[in-house]
Amino acid sequence: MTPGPGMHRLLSNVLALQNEDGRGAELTEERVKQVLLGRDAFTAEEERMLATSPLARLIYAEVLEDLRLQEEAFAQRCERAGVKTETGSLLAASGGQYPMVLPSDDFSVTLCPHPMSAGWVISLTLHDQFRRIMHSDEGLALVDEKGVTWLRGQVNSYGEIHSYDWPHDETPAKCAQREGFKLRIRPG
Amino acid sequence: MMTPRQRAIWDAAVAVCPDRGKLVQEIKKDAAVRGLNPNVTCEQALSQLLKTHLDARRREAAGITEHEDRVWAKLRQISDDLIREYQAKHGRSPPRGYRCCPEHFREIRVRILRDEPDDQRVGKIKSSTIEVYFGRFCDECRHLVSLESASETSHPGEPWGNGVLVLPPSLTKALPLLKKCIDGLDARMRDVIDAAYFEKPKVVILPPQRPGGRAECRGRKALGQGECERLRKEALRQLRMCLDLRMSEKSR
Repeated sequence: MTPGPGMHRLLSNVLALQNEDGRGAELTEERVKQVLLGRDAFTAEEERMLATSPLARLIYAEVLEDLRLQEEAFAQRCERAGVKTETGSLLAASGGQYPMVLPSDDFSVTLCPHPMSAGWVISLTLHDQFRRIMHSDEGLALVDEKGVTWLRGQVNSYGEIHSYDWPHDETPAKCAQREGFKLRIRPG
Repeated sequence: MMTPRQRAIWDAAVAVCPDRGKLVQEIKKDAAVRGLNPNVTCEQALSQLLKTHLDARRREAAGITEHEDRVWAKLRQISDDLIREYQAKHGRSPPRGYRCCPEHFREIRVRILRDEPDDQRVGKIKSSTIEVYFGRFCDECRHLVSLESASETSHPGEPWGNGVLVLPPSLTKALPLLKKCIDGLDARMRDVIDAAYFEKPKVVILPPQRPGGRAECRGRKALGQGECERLRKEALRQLRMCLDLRMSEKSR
């Protein structure tokens, strides 16, 4: 049986009656943000804190909401500037030719096998208009239509982010060839 | 010589300026007021000093710090901008209470994140903190915003943090444990929980104007609203104890 919204609401109401002794404050906003952005996972102790501390869950809920609002603010800023954050439907990229460039109106993504290892070098380059609307210290993530994060970081002075970490089985070049493939930039 | 208007302002200023000693000290310490700064006239310096002093007294009287005052001014400005935009878009003022609703606080936060995320006053402010500011300093909202819901405190036996509905995904593993706990409840409490959370009403909740009863209502038990709420609270209390126990057993 799949638990419905009623069960979730009941669980939430029951957990809200737990006593709070302040230990939940050990779970910092920064740490929750790190996990919610997919940079890390909660430790067993943090999971326990979330299960037992209303304060920890309040911190979790607030960070979750703030990240949602950040997404909304980012979308508004891009829309006002006419910046597109998604690749259109890409024609199947031809294999074998590297670097492979995935173009878009306001950014481009370059894929290249790592010259020294079995990994991949993925580069995101923002075009001028996109760079102009970026705030200092703002992080970005590049995700595909399946929600897989391709890279994440802050743009350098050339408007680029480079990643040398590709932990997935399917190569990025292969992913780029699948039907309906898209990449999207979001705050990260 | 003072004009009558200036005299009236001065009298009002004196009324909110009970600490004359402090003002005298400030005047004594200020080189420009004493004519020792060639770049500023004494009048300009005195005017600035009085303004600063009276601002400080006003904040003191209102129980607001300088930082809070600056944050509030910024939030109010963004709120006014949003309301002007609403009027321009819809051709009418927003409904009463709009300025004080959580959606407006979230819109303010989005506007900050969109345009001024690096602002030292408000760049990092959270929606819940914005709500607290409006609850404290906005005349319109003071009576509408519940500070309790935005605070990080609770009273014994009351839901904490206003019963946050967003739960971390990992907590879904508590759902089967909760199901077992529900099964262990007394039948009446289980019926009330079913009615309140699962839309499977084995009981009928009578409205306040029809109290009195445990009568049957189309084959279902009928309970007064007060009795129903009492049973619901008791059920939640028992479920909490049961769940705590089962979760600690599971983590062992």
